[in-house]
Amino acid sequence: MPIDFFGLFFLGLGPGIAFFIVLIARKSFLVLLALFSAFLWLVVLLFISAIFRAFVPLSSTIGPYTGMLAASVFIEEAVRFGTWWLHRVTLNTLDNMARASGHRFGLLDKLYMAVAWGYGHGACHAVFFFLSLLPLTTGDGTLYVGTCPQMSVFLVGALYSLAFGMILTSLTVIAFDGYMSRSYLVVAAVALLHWGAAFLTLLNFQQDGCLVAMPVLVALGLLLTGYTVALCWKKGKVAR
Amino acid sequence: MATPSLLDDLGEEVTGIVAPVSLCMAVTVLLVRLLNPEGISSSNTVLIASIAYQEQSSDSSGKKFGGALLNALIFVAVVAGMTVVLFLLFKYKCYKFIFAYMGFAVFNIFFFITGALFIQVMQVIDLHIDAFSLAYGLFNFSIVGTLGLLFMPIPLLSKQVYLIWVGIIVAYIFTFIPEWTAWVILCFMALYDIVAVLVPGGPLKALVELAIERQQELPALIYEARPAGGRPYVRGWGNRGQRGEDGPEGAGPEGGPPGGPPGGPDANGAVMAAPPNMVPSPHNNSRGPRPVAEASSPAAGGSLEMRQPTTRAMAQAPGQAAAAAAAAGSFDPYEAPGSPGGSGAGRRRAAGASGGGWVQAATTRVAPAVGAAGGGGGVDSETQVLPMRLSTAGAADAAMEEQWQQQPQRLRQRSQGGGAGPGPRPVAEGREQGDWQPLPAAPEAGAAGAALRVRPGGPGGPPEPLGAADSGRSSPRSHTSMEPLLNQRAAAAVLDRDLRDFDGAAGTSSRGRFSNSSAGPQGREMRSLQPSAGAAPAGKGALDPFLRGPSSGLAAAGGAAGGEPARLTSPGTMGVRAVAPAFDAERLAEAVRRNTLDGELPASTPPPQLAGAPPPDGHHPHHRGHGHHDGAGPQSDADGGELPDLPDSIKLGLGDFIFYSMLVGRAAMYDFMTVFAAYLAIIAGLGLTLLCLAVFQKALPALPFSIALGVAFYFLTRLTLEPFLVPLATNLAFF
Repeated sequence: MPIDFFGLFFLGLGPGIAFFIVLIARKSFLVLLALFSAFLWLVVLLFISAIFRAFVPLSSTIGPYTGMLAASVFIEEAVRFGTWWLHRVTLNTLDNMARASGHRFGLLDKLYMAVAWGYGHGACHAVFFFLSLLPLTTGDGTLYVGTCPQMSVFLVGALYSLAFGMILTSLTVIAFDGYMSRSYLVVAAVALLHWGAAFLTLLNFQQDGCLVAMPVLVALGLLLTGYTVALCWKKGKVAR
Repeated sequence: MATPSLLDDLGEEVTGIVAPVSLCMAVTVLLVRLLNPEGISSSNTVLIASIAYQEQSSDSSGKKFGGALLNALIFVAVVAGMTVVLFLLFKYKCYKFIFAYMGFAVFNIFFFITGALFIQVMQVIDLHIDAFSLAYGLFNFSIVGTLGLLFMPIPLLSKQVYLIWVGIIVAYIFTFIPEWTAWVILCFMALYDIVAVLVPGGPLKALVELAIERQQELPALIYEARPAGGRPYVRGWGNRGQRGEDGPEGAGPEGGPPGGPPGGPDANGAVMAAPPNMVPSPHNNSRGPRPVAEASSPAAGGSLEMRQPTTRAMAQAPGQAAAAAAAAGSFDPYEAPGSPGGSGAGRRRAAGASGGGWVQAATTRVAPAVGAAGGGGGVDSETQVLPMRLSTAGAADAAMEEQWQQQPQRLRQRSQGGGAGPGPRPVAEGREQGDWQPLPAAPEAGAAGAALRVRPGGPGGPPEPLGAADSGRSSPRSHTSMEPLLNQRAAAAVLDRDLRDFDGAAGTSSRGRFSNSSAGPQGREMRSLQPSAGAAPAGKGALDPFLRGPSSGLAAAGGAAGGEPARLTSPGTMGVRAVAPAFDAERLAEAVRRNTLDGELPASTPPPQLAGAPPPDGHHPHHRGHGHHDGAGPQSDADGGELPDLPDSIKLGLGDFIFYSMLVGRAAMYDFMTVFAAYLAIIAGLGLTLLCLAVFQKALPALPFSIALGVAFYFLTRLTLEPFLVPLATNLAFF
């Protein structure tokens, strides 16, 4: 039913779209950066899927999926370092440009850029894990998994999209901050948080596990968002 | 107010192109999913794509592939053939036929095909509309679209909407091409695009060169983004350019009744990448030729055109006045946002800034027609110098200049647009300041306007901060301040004289043109006047071709204009309205001073509000303008160590829109995951192409990177990503 489609669409992607409009769409560069980031993470997803091509479809038990998730997150975290490197290069270039032109390029702008990187990551996952399946709901059917009779696959996807959009965006900002201040503890924490969030979804293999896993993920997303906001606030204060 | 952030404007030009491309793709996907959810292909919808082989699902892969190859070869051959036909038509000056044909094709798209699709959509979503309302609305929509794209100036936004619409419709039609054939056609078109745009020889290049040589616009449908930074959009020749082959292009192969314009493929052909031309700057002949980027008519191939921002921007300034007069209504919205620094003037380069820029700008548009002329040192100069000359010529010239002003607007546009449409428009590189000649005439012109006009932007002028880095400087004034002072009588007199002179040289065509010009307040008309005006002092002959340029469009439209005999003589036909100068005395004085401070213009002076050091190498924060340095003063050369820069407004041929959307539409017939993957790939390819554009500074084919990435990602997604993600999602395991 189309009502399913729109309801789930706004549930899963509404905040993301609002965030985009309010924060990112204002500056063309951030839009382009977010698009580039999404493209980059799509390439990563393709790479991961190419690696696992020989193994899919995995049997629907928790074991193989644990391994798959662990490996995938590992690859993604490794690439996150690559994005940090790209971010550094871009910052240097823009610094030079700003110096040359007299424009301002300060901490706020750098934070914006980090947010754009993160947003691209979150958007990429939300789109490919959730939005690409959502048009199926415009038809007359839906899909449930046996272990989660309370929420349709699409609803779980919407909640995932909501949660991980926040998580991945925040993780990127936190990670970049950690890299910037050479605090590798923070970087490690980011990786662990990503793993943790991914493994939380494995709870969905338990009967009724999704009732716990998805809200906790959303809460984790909110928590990380709050942490990121506090971090930026603090940095802003210090910078001032 | 805090210093503006670097991120504020950076990349605006790119999003100006990415947004409409995304919109076109999104609507195409929507249409495909709505109207063709099963993904049924039909061999009959696009006859040209299925002549050799009609795909049956029961055929073996080998047979399908072979048949698809054959189909694609024929398709590309048809496209190339139509380019040749177009070239011949252009060569033998059958402009009316070209425009009539394109008008017919575009009208078909807007009326019949849109109507058919609209009815289908209404059926699917269960809405109802009566035949009379539909016919009425559709007819109006089509007429405005056809006239606006090809014959008359309409607001930029409308033009953009119509162009996107053409792209959507044609892409949707193309999604009916059977699957294998469609993919092979995409690959072949990408290859053809490379060849057509970059390889010397071949009909497309010949067409472009002929257009340059004749300084005539080629009819083509090109999407031009609004100039970044809020610069005013100058409607001008650029508009003419917009019609185009592309329209027909898309529809071309279609055999159906609505008949997509066969020109479709042609449009592609029309894309041309003109190699950068060196256009010697008139004033600064000593400087040597400036590289000129040519705008190619994008036709299908869709080459990205680079427009030299500087030039364009400059034109804007004067243009504004003109534009304001000419198209007050439509103008304002465009100008308002940017105006101050935004205005093209900002662009950059003002380096030469002040005067130079503007000269260039004016020239740009003119230039394309004029500049193109290879030989044309003189011509170019003329164009370029047009304003200059005018000023030097004296009061009468001032009046001319006035008219000229109006033109620049269009010019600007054009220049911005880059080849808007018609043929390659050489875009002059920024000229340096040195090129700028002091305007002795300015004071004598008496009107502030004269100085106003001349100066691209003077301190007050919205268009351009003189010499200052564009970034910072923003003219406080809105474009309205640039309204020309016009001494209509003088202008008329001059015009009259010019006409007479010109007519002698140009013959009837110019006459017709003039009459067109006089048609009305449209900048376009003034445009043709301008050249003549410019020509007068400069030397008519040189300008003739130039004049002819607009004429094609004008001539075509001119059926509308009708009158052969010039109606120019009456001042009222100039379409220029006298307006009180926006500048006050000080600003005028400053402008004059700036103008005359040729080498001393504080090119390297940062905009007042910017605290930073002047850009060492003209590095533009907004990446505007091409490599001219402000500080370098007269020399900066295009690549003086600056970061590569994109033109202020990028032009993309409609053919690119069409093939991108066709690819994504085709991906939509499989699954949405492939849609998003293809979309991201295409945007990435587009970004890569724009990067190359900034680096190489010449018109480039826009298809290859995007199509290559799009096709690769489509198949990779289908092959690997989907079998990986779908089980993950359906098992509720995510990362």
